[in-house]
Amino acid sequence: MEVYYKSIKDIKKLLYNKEISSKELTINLLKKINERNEKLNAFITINERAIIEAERVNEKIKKDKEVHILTGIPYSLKDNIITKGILTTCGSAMLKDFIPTYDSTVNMILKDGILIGKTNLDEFGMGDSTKTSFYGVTKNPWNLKKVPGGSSGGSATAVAAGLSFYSLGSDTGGSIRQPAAFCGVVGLKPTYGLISRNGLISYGSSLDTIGPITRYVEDCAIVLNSIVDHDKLDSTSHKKNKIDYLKNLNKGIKNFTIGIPKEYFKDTLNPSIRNKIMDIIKQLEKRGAIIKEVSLPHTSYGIFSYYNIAKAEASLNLARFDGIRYGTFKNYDSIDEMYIKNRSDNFGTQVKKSISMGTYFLLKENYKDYYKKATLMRTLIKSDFEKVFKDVDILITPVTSSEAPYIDEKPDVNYDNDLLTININLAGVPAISVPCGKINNMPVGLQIIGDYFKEEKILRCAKIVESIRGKYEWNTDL
Amino acid sequence: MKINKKTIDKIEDTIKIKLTCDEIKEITKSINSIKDYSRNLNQIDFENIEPTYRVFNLNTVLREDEVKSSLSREEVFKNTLNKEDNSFKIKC
Repeated sequence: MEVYYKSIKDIKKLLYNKEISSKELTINLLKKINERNEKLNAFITINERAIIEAERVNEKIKKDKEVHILTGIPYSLKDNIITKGILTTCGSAMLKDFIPTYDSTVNMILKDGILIGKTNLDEFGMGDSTKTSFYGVTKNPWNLKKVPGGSSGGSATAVAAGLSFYSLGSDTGGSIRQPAAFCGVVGLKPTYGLISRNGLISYGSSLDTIGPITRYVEDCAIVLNSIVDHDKLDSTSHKKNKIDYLKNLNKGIKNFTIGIPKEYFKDTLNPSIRNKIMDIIKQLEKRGAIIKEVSLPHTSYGIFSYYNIAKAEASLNLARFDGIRYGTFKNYDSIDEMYIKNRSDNFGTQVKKSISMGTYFLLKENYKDYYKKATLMRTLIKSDFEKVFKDVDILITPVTSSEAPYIDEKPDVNYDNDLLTININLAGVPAISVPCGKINNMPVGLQIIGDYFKEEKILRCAKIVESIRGKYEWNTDL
Repeated sequence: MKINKKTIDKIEDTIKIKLTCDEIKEITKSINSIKDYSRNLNQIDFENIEPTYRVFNLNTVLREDEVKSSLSREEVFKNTLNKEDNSFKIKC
């Protein structure tokens, strides 16, 4: 297999057996990105210091065989995760000159990895296609005429195209899981508060999580092991005893009770996707799982709840972009003119729409009927998950209701796709998208949802799904 | 609350963004679609339901009142165009 599609463990072996050095790996990967990025537009910024970092890490590997498993391995970060000294744009003109002066916690944790570059995204994480970035559209590596999904489309594309051994994305309403499904990679949205958000530029602060995007389930567990930690710099970060997510990864799912929530299998679900998922469920049953139909009765109200809450939080989070501390205009006659010029010219349409919607829902005359009601509905949605996990270990659902759309297709106004992912963020539970096959040569994802802090269970099931699916042929012919 | 010119003016003034006609059309359409969803909520009993603002009820996290290092002045001003001496300077 081409070296760029190897797993983390396999690359680690090559590095430690000196069959390849971190510097050679990095140089060759940069060449590959140079060849492919024009077609894919997965990266906004390539790290100019990547080779220097690789040289530093080479020395570390030579001296100490017991270094961390991710040492020397190239990775990428979604460009809403700040990186000290490296441009961080959020896919927006507003931050086109923004060089952060401090590092995100996750990037500090990965300091002995090789940050290869910052990946493209829907502007400020607001979107599901990676079409709304100021830096252009990212293409799906399986079909360049299709979207990779979003908002972590650049990360999912980079991993699927062999341009990154893993990436970190962010998920507010499906932004890791949906592009992972469309690009045929693994994408995990952990429990809210498990991974530090310090350095993640906020969209919806009560919904956002950082999570790994990888080619293999085991790689996902390895990355998760590395980035989970309590962080004093994030007041929503949880103090939990660290778990080794690799320890029980191969223990299977015998006697797991798997819930199939009927509300996630509507008539509008693409029949081929439904059949693929049902086939996998039958195979899981043969391997000893107990399958049970369940109900999450408030599912359909998630649209109202999510859009009110996410857009309200977005309108508040993006108020800081006023042109004073980061902005692009110096010549103006009044402070209002500066605000209006900066914000009107530098935010894209989707972001302006999000801010406007959020502001509308928070207006004094609307607050009670919209935002407040949305928070009450959130309690009921959260409670649905809490109740169902008293009876089942995990839930299985589709990630998307259709295949990846074409780039020039008119945006879908029905919210069927959203409903498959957003309630997981409202509740704060973990969920993973794992590739379960292909339809018309395009990948299909299967979603496994777990109870709070039960990432170990969902990873175990994802490993089995991966083995049922069988060997994956990456699209190396780009 | 209907979305009319007065509403749009209020939103624009709050968010400090001048919206184009096309943007106003799109925003109105999106808000109206969420309003449609709100009509289904009449069948839900919200009696005795408390709102959820955050996933977990964490108490305010404090730390000891000790001086710790922070960003230097140079770092604080690095990304602004609006600086004079050691202050952010703006016209009122």
